[in-house]
Amino acid sequence: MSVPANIFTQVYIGKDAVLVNGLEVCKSAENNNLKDLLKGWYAELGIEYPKFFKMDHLSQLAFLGAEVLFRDADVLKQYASDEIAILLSNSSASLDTDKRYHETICSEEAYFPSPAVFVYTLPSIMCGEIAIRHGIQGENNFFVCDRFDFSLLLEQSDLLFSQTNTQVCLVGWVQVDGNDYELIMYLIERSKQQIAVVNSSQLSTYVTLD
Amino acid sequence: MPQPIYIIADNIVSPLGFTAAANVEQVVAGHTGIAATTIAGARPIDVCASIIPNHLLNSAVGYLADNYTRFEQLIIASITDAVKQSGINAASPRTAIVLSTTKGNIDMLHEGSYPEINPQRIYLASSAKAIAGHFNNPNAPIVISNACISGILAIIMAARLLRTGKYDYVIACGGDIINDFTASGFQSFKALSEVPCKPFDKDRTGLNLGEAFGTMVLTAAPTHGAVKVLGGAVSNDANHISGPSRDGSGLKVAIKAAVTASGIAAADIDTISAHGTATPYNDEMETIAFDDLGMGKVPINSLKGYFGHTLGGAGMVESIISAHALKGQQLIKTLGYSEHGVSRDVNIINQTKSYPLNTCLKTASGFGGCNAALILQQQ
Repeated sequence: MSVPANIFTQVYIGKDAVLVNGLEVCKSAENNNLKDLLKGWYAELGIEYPKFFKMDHLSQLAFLGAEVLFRDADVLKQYASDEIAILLSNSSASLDTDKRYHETICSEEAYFPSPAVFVYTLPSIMCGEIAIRHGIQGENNFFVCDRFDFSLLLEQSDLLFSQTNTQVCLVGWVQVDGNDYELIMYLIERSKQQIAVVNSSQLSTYVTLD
Repeated sequence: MPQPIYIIADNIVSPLGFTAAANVEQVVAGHTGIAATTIAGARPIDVCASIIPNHLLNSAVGYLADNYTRFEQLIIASITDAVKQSGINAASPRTAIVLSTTKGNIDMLHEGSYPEINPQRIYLASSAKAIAGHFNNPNAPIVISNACISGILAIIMAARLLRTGKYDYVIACGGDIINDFTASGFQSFKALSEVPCKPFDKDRTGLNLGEAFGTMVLTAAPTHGAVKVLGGAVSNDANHISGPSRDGSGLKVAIKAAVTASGIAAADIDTISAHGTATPYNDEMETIAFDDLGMGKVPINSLKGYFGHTLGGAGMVESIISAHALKGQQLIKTLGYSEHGVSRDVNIINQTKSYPLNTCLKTASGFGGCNAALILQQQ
């Protein structure tokens, strides 16, 4: 990093659990069905946001990750809306929803394309949903990588800290492919302290400052 | 003044031609790639769209057809020409590739579409790796998928990366193919115009889809005669996922940040190439934003009348045309515009003509509420 930065909150959603900084914030669920898992977590977290039910699984997962991330941290009050950036990534883009949409147009007899589904056939929509929920107007981007690449996200955050007025970045990986899913999110903030070198195999470890 | 970045070579692949020069020539002559056509699918869709004819693709890169998808062939064609023009070594570890697309190999969803090609290539990073591999570039390409601002984002990303000194050159490219997936989707939004689109016009009814792929080769090394990228910025409306904020507030955030990042003043902007998709909402929103920022008299165009809305390619292709217009000291008219149809009294370019120009603002907005703004300057 050319600009000192501090990673101060981590969210992991996977293996039927929602963890903030390594601690479970939802009751352990045992459910193979992603749809029900997402609805269950939404209810348990006491969220009231009807638009959640219009979202596809990818946006619902991203939304929940950001929800618990921001609950843990005070950044939304500390910074202006255009000082907060959203940088997300995955390997399948919006393929899960693309396939669902494709099914609505690939047969002449069962042809029912719908704008409500089509709008989610872009991976960056999840950034938009998070932006709307939390009033974030800053830089935003979506990267398609072959695996979770924390050093890319760190490098991108550094570009923003050194060349824009971005003060904090929500970075992460949000992947949905049928019932397979995984979310990892971090908040990275400009700070006076130097960042620790991050080993990407320490995904479930809360990264602290030296 | 932030370090400027130089565009040392570029390319456009579209129905108007397979080089930037050919496309610029056709655009200046007022020709369009948009035509009445039918998009094949379970239910064929009759549209006005700007689709790259297969015979042009085959004659340019037919030798690639066995090993690469349509999307990949088109991007490779574009990068090949730009790299050749630039004289750089695309295989160098000091050269990065930044690739923008909204849907990549979306046609692979049709079973049996590419029997000889690894089905994993529907995953964008895999496709990008194959593209980079064609040029023996050793770096993992950065793949950006951020709706219709992706093309501008590739340029902004390139500039930001080059300023760190990590690379000597960045090949920034963008594009999307058009097929039944996208056409049916936009049709379901009732966003398509049945006739060639009319940006900012009173009778505009929607957009035309188009295929155009563009590439820029950029460097931080000062290059005499090259158009400069001064800076750019991205923002989000934080308002609605499929329609822009009525007041253009999110776009204004991006424009102001781009102006600041470029070390210029808003008053320095001589011309604007807008997103101008010709939907009722987009054109109204953009012109409100420009007017509110004091740019009501600045000559504004939309290039969508020449290329259609080329999605991941739009920001790249239209920035390339704008850069050539700066160099050629020309205003390019808004093809399709005849009667003013936005509420603000802004200056829409309706004639292609010589004009003294120094600094251009290029904007784009997309699904998800994203906005991007880029500042180009000729020397």
